[in-house]
Amino acid sequence: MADELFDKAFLKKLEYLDLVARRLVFGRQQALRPSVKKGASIEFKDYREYSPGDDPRTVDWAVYARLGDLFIKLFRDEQELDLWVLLDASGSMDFGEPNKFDHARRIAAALAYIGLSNMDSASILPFTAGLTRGRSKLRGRGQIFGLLDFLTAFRADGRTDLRAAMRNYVSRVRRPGLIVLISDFYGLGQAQAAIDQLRFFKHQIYVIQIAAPWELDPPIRGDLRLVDTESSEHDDLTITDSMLRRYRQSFDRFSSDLRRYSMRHSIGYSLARTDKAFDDFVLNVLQRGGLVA
Amino acid sequence: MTLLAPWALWLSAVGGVVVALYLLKIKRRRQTVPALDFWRELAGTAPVRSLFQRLKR
Repeated sequence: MADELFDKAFLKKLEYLDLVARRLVFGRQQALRPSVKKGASIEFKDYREYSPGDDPRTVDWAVYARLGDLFIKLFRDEQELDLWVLLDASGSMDFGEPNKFDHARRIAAALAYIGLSNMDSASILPFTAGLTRGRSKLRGRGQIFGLLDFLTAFRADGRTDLRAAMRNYVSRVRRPGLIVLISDFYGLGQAQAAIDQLRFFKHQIYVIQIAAPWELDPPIRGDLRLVDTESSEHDDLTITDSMLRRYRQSFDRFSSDLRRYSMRHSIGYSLARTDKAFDDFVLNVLQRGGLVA
Repeated sequence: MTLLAPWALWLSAVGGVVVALYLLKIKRRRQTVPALDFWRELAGTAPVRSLFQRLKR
């Protein structure tokens, strides 16, 4: 499994993606992202009148010599950027050929690797009905192998409760960071409410909808017993051509609703088809921007 | 077969019931789906076209 999921070719692609990411996205910034907040760095931001309690070391004595008033220098804060990859590991992700969860794990690993190289920390937190411990606040590229082992051992199973999982997340992580949410987003109403919780805490969000070719155009017809991968509930249905047509329309509407919701709230959105190469997808996401402000 | 000896009539009626039961008890292939609710919504809006389909449901 480990060899199949994250083989040598995968690691080579990671190296390539990392190089491209440095050139395309991070460039000169290299993990130091200017913040609107004032703080302590060497980059000057503004002056402010001295008030009791200010650090006297920040007083600009040259200005005092010219104007006779005390002013202190304010510097731009260098804020850390944490990458949080929230990975749906529910039963519905263990579906399709190529498998949705495998595809999602590859994308998550690639983003984490880029994050480990270029950002202050990277984390991967799988979730089902709640958030798992996952691997948090990893730093440095050397952590990637432990992360790949962790992802390889993880199994997609159980029901999703995106709202509960996001509630867990916002109670655990207070500092705004870059969140990449990877899921199939079934139960869109619940998904939007879940993402709203993240928006409230000022996180920068990017959603990746995973879809297998089967879901986009199911090759089924006739009398079938449809069994839900998460709940094992079943329904007997006769699938006709008109039903398939309505299914495709319904799935398109479902994806467009998620895309529209994301655009409305300045959230990045991408649909990742499992029959497309994960590295092409990641490249495309990086090139189009949006993943990193 | 006459109305004085209706056993053949009964037999054919039983045969008809067996055939109807066979048709109603269709062997369905199992197909796992990632979200059954999606299909249930579609089935809920699907027009039921014939008495036979209604019976099957």
